[in-house]
Amino acid sequence: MNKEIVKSERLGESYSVFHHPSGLDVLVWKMEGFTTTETIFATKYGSVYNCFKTKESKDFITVPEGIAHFLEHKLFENEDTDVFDLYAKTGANANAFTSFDETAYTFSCSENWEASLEILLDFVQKPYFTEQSVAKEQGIIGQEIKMCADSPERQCFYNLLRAMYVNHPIKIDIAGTVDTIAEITPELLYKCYYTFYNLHNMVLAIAGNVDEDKVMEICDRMLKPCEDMKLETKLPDEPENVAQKKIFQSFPVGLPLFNIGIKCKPYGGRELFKKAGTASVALHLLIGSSSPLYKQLFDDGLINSQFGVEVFTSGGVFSPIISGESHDPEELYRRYLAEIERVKTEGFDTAQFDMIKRSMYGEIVRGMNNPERAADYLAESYFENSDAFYEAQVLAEMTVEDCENAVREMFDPEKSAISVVDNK
Amino acid sequence: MAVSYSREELGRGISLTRIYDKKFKSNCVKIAFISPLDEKTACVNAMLQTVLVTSNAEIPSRTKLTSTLTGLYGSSIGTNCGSIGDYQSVGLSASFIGDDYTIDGEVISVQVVRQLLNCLLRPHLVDGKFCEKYFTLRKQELMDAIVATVNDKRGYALLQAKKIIFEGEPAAVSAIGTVELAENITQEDLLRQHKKLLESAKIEITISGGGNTAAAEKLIRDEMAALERVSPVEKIDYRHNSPAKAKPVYKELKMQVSQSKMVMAFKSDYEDIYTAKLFCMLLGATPFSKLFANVREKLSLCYYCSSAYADRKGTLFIDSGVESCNIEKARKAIEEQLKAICDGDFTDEELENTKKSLCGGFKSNYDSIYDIMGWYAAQNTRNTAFTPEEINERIEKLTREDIISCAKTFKPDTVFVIRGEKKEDCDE
Repeated sequence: MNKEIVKSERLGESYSVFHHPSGLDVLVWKMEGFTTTETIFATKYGSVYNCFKTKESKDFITVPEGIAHFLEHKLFENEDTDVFDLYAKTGANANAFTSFDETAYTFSCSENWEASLEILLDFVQKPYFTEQSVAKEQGIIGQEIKMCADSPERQCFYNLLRAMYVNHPIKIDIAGTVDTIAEITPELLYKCYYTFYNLHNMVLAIAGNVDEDKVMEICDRMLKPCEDMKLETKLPDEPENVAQKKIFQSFPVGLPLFNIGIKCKPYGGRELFKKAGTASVALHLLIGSSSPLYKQLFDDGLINSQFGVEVFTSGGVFSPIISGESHDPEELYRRYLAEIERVKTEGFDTAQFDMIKRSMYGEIVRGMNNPERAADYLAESYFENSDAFYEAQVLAEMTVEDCENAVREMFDPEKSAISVVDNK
Repeated sequence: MAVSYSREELGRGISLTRIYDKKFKSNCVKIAFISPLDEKTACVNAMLQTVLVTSNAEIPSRTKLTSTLTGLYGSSIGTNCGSIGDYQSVGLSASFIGDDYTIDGEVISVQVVRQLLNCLLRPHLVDGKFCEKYFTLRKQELMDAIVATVNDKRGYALLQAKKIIFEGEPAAVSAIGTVELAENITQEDLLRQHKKLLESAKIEITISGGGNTAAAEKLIRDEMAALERVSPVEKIDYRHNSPAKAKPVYKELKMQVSQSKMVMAFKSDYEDIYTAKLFCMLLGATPFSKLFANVREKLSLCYYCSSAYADRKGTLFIDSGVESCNIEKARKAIEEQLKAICDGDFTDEELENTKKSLCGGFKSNYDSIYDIMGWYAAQNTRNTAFTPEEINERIEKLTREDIISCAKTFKPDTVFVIRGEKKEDCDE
């Protein structure tokens, strides 16, 4: 079995990567002095991968929207027992989530991590679906979909994705709809399971209080070797332009909510981290809380403390997004686009750039305080063929010119869109 | 554990808690002012902290203050506003990385804490008043925040339910007030309340993290020693159990929501809060609890259905997301699960597993500076200083008879429902 050590001299941290013969890569980050063990067993399978083929199938097949999330729910039910009952015996706090491009099963515990790891590896490799249990889950997820429909923040965000993307499945709710999940059958679940829950398409990431020899002993015993099925996923062609510039929805809210995004071309691998890091610093310089534009907007009462910025990179899309509450989202939108144009000709202030860079470095250091965050770093970076410390390296090497170029390359007002939810 | 905890009474109603664990690469300093919850002053306090965090006499510009902190490796100063039973806690806290982790070995801890103290003690005043621009903006922001509580339907249901559950008690008051109260706040209100908090509120200072904060701590001690305080500062007893209503109350509110929300409250004077916490967890605070396993999984009546225990008010909350047509069924099913525990209808294994979950959760507080601060803040409100291990030892010794006798003391008090107006299909 191959073992690699990934190290960051700058951060004084390291972790091990084991290439297990079963096909699974196992990442172990022992954090001295920590009590808890955080574990993520994840597959590179999220809501956008609805069209796929393997070396065994002739053509691409398409499955119902929301099936990745549905599968995540159903995997917690074994033939003979409920997985939560097993975890109950070890005291671990178990959970799972499905995103646009990943499904992850997690547990956190301060005792008996070995027994909890065995439970995790066992149930994720042991699917069991029946007509009856699928029908029951359709009811539960139907209620989850209804609950999410009551969240104006979520509606505002999905509306933005619908405005920006013409064909890309990113615009479809991760949970699907009541109608699409009604099409799900045990056969389809097994099909998706055996396609995406192949150890070659998965990762096991553990951070905190852990012993790597013991981890590998459990993996040797529990992992069922898999043949690489040469999985291919297909996303529809997506034009460069947005589907619509503006989208509005009426909803009972206190103050109008907005999301403003700019559609960029997608990136992958290490380039994704580099582009996302640069775009993130650029976004903070453009409209972050210490920027001149933020000051104007704040002083004019156009934003409040709910304002936030992020570079959204998931499921093969890339978009700098700003969001929050405003009495006049359209005026805010106009000023944001004007600031982008100004920066394209005048550039950024170097002192401001240094300040933001330090701030983001501090954020990474703070992330190392926490086994949960550390386990997230491991899994996220693994699926992009990167490492957990690359973000810090990107930041250390970044220049103000990189950020100015990022604005010219990625912040195209023509490819922007605004989503507003208000009471009107 | 490598955690060291100490608590010191600095006198005149000021306490200093220090929590040190070398594994942490960052620190947090929190200064909180505790005073009785009162509708008018709660709203003024909520606005005051947002004005204070905006700027200070040394750095009167919000942008400059933000830039200064951002340049200190993304340090931040934020507000803390919440209720602890019948009391309100407001104040500011600063977060910053340890001096050992700065690129060139710069000492940033003192700089950050100095700005925290500047914000709290030396606000940016113009002609004896808070900067009018920030005053106006923050007032509007508070009103916006109050109106926006409706966005999160689950939180909104709990907020509205508390008004009924704790009717006539301070805990019924929202920690951020109402739009009408916020709208009428004046400069004089803020100045008066600022003076009052500095003079007579209970002050809780907490320093937590892994860095060397001795110089920053000295700065805090010196500033606190120089504060003009009334004597004596009123002592706080946080535990005021809410009396159960003679006849349980049922109230409904109609709203445009897809999923209805139901909040149920039960009250008790049971003395040992850790027994009550264990009972609450067995009932509905784990994925293998009675409520989750039966009301959600077996009966599919709710998408979420969980319990929480407010020890300072002796009140058990059960909140659920439920389809309108299932509200009554869900209510009955929840009551049946509570009765099942009173009747001893739970296995030793269920109880042992719940203990493991509760104890594991307590122990995991060691791995976050914020969680361990929260743990000891709660201990402080109980005038105790137990470690998670000490509490876990007590929990291990609890028996099924303890749980049954505790469960039997909880009396129904309130059912509050936000009923969806949208027409929906229900599988009967």
